[in-house]
Amino acid sequence: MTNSENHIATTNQTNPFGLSRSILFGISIAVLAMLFLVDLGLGSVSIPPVDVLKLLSGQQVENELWHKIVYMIRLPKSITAVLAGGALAVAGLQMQTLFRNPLAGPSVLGITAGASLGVALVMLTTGGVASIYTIRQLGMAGSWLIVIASATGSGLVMALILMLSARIKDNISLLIVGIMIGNITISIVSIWQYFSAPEQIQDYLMWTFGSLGGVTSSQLSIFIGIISIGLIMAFIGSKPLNTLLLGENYARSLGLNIKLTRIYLIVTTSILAGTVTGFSGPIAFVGIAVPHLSRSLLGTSDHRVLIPATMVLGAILMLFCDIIAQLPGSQISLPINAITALLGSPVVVWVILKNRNLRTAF
Amino acid sequence: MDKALEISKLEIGYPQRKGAPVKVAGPIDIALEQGELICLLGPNGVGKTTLLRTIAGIQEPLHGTVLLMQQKLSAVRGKDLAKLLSVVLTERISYGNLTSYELISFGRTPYTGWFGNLNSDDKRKIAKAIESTNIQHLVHKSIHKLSDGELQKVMIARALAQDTPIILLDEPTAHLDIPNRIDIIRLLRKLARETGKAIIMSTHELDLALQAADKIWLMTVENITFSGAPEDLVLNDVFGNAFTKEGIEYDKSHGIFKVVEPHCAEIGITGDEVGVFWTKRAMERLGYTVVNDEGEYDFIKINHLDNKWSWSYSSKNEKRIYTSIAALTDFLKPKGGHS
Repeated sequence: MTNSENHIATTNQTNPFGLSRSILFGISIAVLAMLFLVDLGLGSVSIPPVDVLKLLSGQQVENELWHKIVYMIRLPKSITAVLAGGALAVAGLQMQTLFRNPLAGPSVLGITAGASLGVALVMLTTGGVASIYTIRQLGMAGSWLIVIASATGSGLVMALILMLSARIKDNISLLIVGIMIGNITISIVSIWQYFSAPEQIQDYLMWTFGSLGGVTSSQLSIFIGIISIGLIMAFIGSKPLNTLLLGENYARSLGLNIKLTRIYLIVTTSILAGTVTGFSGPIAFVGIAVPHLSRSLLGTSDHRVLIPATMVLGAILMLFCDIIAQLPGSQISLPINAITALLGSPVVVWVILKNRNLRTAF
Repeated sequence: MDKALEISKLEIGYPQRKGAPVKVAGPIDIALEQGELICLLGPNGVGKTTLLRTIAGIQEPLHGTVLLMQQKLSAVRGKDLAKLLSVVLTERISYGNLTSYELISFGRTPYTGWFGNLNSDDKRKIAKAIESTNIQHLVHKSIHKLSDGELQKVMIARALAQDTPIILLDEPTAHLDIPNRIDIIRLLRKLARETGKAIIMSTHELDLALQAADKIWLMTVENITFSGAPEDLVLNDVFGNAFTKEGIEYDKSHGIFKVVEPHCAEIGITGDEVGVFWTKRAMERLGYTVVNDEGEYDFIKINHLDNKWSWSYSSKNEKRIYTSIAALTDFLKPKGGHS
């Protein structure tokens, strides 16, 4: 008996690198902190990491302007990147387990499209009153409007897809249906745009490119608050998610309330993916790629480990994408959405190739 | 001893979106004692899986009641039900990068806290489940690397870790080779004996079920038509009647099913006892009726010398010697109808 108890300790510590999980976790946090500093320093004005560190610790630096740039613009943007990356990755992980589908993710199954519909509803219907800039001027009230609209939109699409998933057992068919629902949502938005004033369309189009800089410092507290609640809810849901790995029948036989669990996961995913989409636009591929990356790095499907891991890895990936999007050394920056797709899609292909199929990777 | 399971007036089936529900079987009245191993037998499609799913609470009964350890199934839900009854289903766990140990530890889900941490009691129960299924060598292995037989044992260990007085298994021996089948049935038998658990397994392994089960529940169209000791089942011809189809016959004296071919001729076989047994099977497969004494018909004499077999066949007009049954049957095979 003591023999098998010893086994547990060893089995919980194995991964492709042969490092213990706590060491891997430590390394990831260090990488995250480093990227965070680099990200703060990059932009149209370069600030050396040492000075960024000084600024953050409250010391004075020679350049007065730097203080303003870091605190007013870059800190909100980097914090948004960390939270958005973590939130999208965790939302993707939850969806993959809930749908038992390795290709599920907020952007794939139309969840972000649903959020877009919610945002378009706010931006396009109310005429000039609620364009993105006026919403920003509204401050707190406007932020809530966007959060509620986008989370509701994504929640509705997710509930619809979940309802269909009860009838469609085949993963690939469900995926195609999800993509179609996403397309329908997008086309509704397009028709809407066609009848809208050009200024409104421009606002909306800018939003669809995705931007981590969209969250102003006044909105940041709301963003941080809601995402934190979503992440904590996701972490609390680890045990039901683990049980769901066995399939619904086994999960039920282990005493899990399937209906309640589904609703809980829909709400959590909608809060996470919907809020991020509302504030930063539809950001693709982080949600699908990061969970796979975490599973292969850690060699486990235990959500108690995976949720914190995807959180950190998602944040790292998003910061990394933001750094690349700055095109260091240049004055321009690219839309974040283009970079995440550019980096995220090869990750998915790599995971498929490495495991021959996604099912065993899952 | 106390009844572990009592089923009364149970009707099972599927509710439909429109119209009356489809009834699969019922009304069923049956009970199960603790420490008993029941084999649920029956032809394909009579509703064995539906019955097990209904008892497990996975699907609702159309009518009637199920009592698990004197508690009404309809009144016990969630975790409380999970502490009374565990299942091993036919669906394969294909998702999740899990080790056997992690999978088995999921059996403790109804007992652990919100985060699913295992305490020393949980770990002891898991270790015991691993020990009684004899899979110590598999605990670190990823479940994707297990063979079908190994995975089935891990799933049984998971059910054991759930520590319930009743275990239901839906065709646990399907897709397994003979040694693994025997292994699993022996294991279940031992568990019923030693732990006093009530175990129901549905199976198609008639001969193994007859040897290992304390009782057989025979399910035929619409209901369980027989329940009792396996031997009663055979002696009362229930068994033969339930499974007999054209060309198949249940041989009561040997306890096996036989493929019956239309008779073509009589043949006599003499010689070494073991040799006669197997040669007889081959002849019966060809459609011969075998008589044991020498007489007016063709006969085969079997010689077994120095570990070498030979068959001398003699008829009215010829005498031949063969060194294998294959050669013998090739010669004796009824020739095609066109000649």
